[in-house]
Order: sequence, then C-alpha cells, then structure tokens
Amino acid sequence: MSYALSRITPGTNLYAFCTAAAWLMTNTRGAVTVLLIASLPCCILIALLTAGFDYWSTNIWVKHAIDGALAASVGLLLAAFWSIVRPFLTAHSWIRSSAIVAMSLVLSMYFNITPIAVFALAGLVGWFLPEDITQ
Amino acid sequence: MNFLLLYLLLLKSTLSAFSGLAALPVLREDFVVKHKLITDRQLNTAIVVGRTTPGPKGLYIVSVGYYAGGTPGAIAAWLALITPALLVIPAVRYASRRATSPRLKRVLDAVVLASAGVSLSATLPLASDALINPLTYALAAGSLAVLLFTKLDSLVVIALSALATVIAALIR
Repeated sequence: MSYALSRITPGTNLYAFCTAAAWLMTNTRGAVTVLLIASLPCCILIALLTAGFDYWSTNIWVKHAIDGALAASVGLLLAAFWSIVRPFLTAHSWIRSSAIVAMSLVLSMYFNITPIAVFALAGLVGWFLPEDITQ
Repeated sequence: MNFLLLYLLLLKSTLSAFSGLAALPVLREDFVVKHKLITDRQLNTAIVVGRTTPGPKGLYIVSVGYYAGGTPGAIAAWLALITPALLVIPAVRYASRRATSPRLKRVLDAVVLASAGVSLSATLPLASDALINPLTYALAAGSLAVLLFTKLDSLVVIALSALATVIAALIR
C-alpha cells in the first residue's frame, strides 16, 4: 500500500514511500524524522557540489568539461523522455499515449500554455478515457 | 527573491511532477522564462549536478534553488522537495482504498504522459544552449545511444563526455 500511494503522490516517490512506510511502522513524528534523515545527506551533497561547480566554472579546463557534461545532459533528458513514454507504448494504448504526448508538446511549444494547465488538461482527458489506455 | 516565494515556486514544480525530471518544464517556465532567476545553462548544469550525486533523480531542484538563491535557496528547495512526501500520510490514513482506482490511475498516467511531452518542449531550449559545436552534437547523440542501449550509469556517461571535451580542447 505504501508503494502504491507513493506512486500517486506528487514529488519524489522515494521520499513518499519512506514517509508512508515509517508512518505505518511508527507515527507522524517517526515519518517526518525518516523523511528528514532520508533526504538531508543527498541534498547537502548536491548543494556543495553546485557551489563547487559555480566556483570552478571560471577555470578553462573545468569549463571545457562542463561543456561536455551539458552535451551529455541533453542525451540524458531525451533518454529520460523515452523511459517515461516507453511503458505506455503498448499494442492497445500507443496511439492514445502518443496523442497525449504530442498534444502536450504542441500546446506547450506553439500555444505557450503553461505546464500546469497542460497537466490539468491531460488529467481531464485521462478522466474520460476508456479503461485500456494503460493495459 | 524572498525565501517564502522561492519555496512556493519550487513547491509548485515538485507538486506538478510525478517522476524524476518531470518538474523541468515548470521550473524552466518559472525560473528561466518568467522570473529570470537562472539561465538555461544553469538549469542544464543543475541537471548534470543532480545526476552526478546519489539519490532520487529529482534532486537537481536543490541545485536550481542554490543557483536562484544561494544557500537559503538550496534550503528552500530541500523543503519544497520533502513537502509533497508529507501528503502521503493523510493518503495512507484516509485514501488508501481509492489509490488503486482505475480512473485515478488513468488520470495520473495521462498527466505523466503530458509531463513527458512538456519536458521535451523544455529540453529544446536547453539543447540549443548546450549544443554549441559538432563535438557537442556528437556527444549528445552518443550519450543518448549509450543510455538507451546499454546499462551504463548516467554518471559515467557524463564523466566520459566531460573527458572527451577536455581531450578535444587539449588536441586543438
């Protein structure tokens, strides 16, 4: 149940899962404690690393390295896009899934509709879709 | 920008995302386009930083917070990152029966698909900032191919790509 609920909780699913599992085992205080312990070390690390990137970014060699890393991040973003979409491209649902992705892309790119409005619209479409979209 | 407003903007992005990089379009809209708190390059760098550290994929928001407001910004981002997780407590208490509702699942699936489409539109400006010469185009294409067809970790891909541009600069 913790896993299922964490999947439908916005934000980082892993933190929601930790919180739900801790709440079931202890209480609200325990859940909050677990959430803080689970999230804090990585967040400190990432803040320190960002500060390091900022500090070193004036060095010419670091600048070259960052150029390469940024190029890789474009590939990474495209791979992330594919990893989100791929599970929905089944024989039964690929047309509808592709249509939702394409419409979101077009609304966002060419009609300047804000992401939140696009998500709301997609949610509305999902509400009225027949059962087999995710089969 | 004050701490509370920064927190609320970051919270808006985390509340709108159901998977790792899905907050990207909302972040770009608010931080790059509307309020001009960070640049596309900083947003792209934040993604790189996020992928070079252990932990969930959505952690790059902390890096975005740092670029937008220094250490207080990073703290605001951390709080924005963990706040949505607290929503799961009332969900466990009151809504656990509805969590498996097929209709709710369809709504969430449609939102996740839409987030992929909107993410793609947010990737294009980041790409135009990052892809500055034939080498960077080749590295982006190579990284995509490696990530799609092998199990190599993204951290290794980023490191190799960074090394390639350093070597290319040495040769030039």
